[in-house]
Amino acid sequence: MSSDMVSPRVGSEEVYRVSTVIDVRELRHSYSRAGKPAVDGISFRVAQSEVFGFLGPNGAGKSTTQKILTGLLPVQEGEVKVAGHDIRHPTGEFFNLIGVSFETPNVYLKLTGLENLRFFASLYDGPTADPVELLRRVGLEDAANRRAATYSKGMRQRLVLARSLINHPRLWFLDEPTGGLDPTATQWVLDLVREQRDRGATVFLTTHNMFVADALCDRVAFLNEGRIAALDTPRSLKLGYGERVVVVEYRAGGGGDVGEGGGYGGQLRRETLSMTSESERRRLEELVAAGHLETVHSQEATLEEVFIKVTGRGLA
Amino acid sequence: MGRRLLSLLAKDLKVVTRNHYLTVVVGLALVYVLAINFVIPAQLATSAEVVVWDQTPGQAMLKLYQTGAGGASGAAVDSETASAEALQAGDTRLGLHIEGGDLPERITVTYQGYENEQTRHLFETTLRAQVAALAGSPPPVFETDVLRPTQPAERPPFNFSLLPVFIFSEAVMVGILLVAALLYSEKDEGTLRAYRVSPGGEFEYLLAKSLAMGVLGVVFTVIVTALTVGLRVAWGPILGLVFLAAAAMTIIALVIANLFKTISQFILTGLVITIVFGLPVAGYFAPSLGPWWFKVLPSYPLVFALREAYFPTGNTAAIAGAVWQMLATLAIALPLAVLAFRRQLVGRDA
Repeated sequence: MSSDMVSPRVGSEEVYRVSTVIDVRELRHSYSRAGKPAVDGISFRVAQSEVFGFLGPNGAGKSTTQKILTGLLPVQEGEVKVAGHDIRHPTGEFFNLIGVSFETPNVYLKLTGLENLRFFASLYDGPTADPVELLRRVGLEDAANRRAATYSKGMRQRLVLARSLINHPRLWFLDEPTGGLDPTATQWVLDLVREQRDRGATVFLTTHNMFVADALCDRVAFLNEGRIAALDTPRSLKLGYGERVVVVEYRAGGGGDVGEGGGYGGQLRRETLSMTSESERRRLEELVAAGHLETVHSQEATLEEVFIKVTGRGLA
Repeated sequence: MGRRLLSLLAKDLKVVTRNHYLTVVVGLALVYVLAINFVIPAQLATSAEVVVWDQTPGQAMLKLYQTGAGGASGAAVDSETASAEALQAGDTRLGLHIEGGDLPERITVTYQGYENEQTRHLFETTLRAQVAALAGSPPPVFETDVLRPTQPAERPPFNFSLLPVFIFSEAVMVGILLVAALLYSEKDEGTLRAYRVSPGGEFEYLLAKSLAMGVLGVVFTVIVTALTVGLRVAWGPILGLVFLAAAAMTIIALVIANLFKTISQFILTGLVITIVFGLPVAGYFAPSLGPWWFKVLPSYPLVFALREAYFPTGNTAAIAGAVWQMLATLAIALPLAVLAFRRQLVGRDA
């Protein structure tokens, strides 16, 4: 499945009735009694094998929600079911099902990369992945026997990623998985997420990196000030909130003559034309009819632009 | 659970070794070995040395001290200056100036000034009895009875008699601070959070830490014991007591450490805990000193049990009592530690 394709199953009510893995209803969480809630009455569902993106700027409530879903924070108000388990009372069986990759590279610094993975593998009840193979997948095979204290931040982050896959999780939580990674390592992460989705795992991705979200997610939720501002497939969001425009380049004043070097004569011009405007659609038709067009590009909004439009704020 | 516990214990032992906690423990053990073997004397001088300036013709009192019959060794001087110089030369010396004829008529005692009232009273009472004996008055005869008769055991050399105290204070008490350091280092690394989203439980996590400290205590004890009193000791009771006590004490430390967010917040309380648990050592040196709250502390029976394990007198009940008290401490403190861990540290760590 291409990353840009939307699963035909995702989004339909039937899918969630049959295979909901995460079911959150009216979830609220406050760190202080008087303060503004970090999470303010959010509801959403995630289906099996879905890559669900939870997007928003720092302080939007993303990490708080993920901590509640993984049992690190208690449910104060609302209902949360994860993989059929009431998250108010998480059991060992629940933790056997999930894998969590934290934003901070939290590994045992005094242990080697291999020892870190072997230790965590020993905590699970079911079959676990081969630690050496996992280290190879994240490019740490050469550093397997070095203490994690000697790793760079990016290497530790990759070790955390590998650790979160040690139990073949059915539900994989990723918190800013590409933070601090170089482009090559980022590509490894993208490949790993697609691979996990293809083997049937559900992925809950928390990030403020819209490129990563756009590349990976079947659906995304925009979180702003503890509330979900929008929730849909990236494509629907871009089409729904972005302007449908085309950018055209053409030669003006050259009369269509072929000039030196094989190009048309006249000055090169560029226009952005909205497809929702009657007059601009006519202008496009004129340019096509005149035969002066050199390039035509459809232009959709980026997820970041949609986010700004929906929430009125940027992602920084 | 057993597999996870062993795995956690192995991990903790690797971490304490690589964090140099083990190096610290071994280093401390060697310092104690040197102190016991070469610094602390095998015997303590407990009787005073008396500087006697006897101006009586027969010098009966001087003879009494020179033969040792005076209850203390005596050194003779023949002038006031010599007496003053001799007294200046030793902090534990007492001066005795005797004047008179055949019998002492006037006696002057010179103290250093450090002696307590009891010592002075005892010395003067003995002196009166000696003078009375010289005058021909027979000393009074007492009949004695003992409420708690025990088999008089061979008294160990003084330096070795301190072993139970050293073992207790280092093998057990150092564990309190080390286990807190271990806990907070994992909190700072964030690995505690990683553990929390695994199937591993709080009970195993805390028990593994206390067992790791028990192993460190055993290492310390083996080194100090083998290099001081030798290999022919009752290893089973000694190491069993140390392991159990270190585990119990560190669990208590974990209950309290879980109430603090950082090690700097905990450290003062940690020191107070070690002092409080260390107080019963006073009862070891002065067995009559034993207020009820000493006996409630798990450290109180431990020092006596260790003494019994090192220098057996047949009082096995001392060891059994300490073992039961340690087990009871573990049974009470472990659930409390789990509760504190769950409610306090993890909530804030998340």
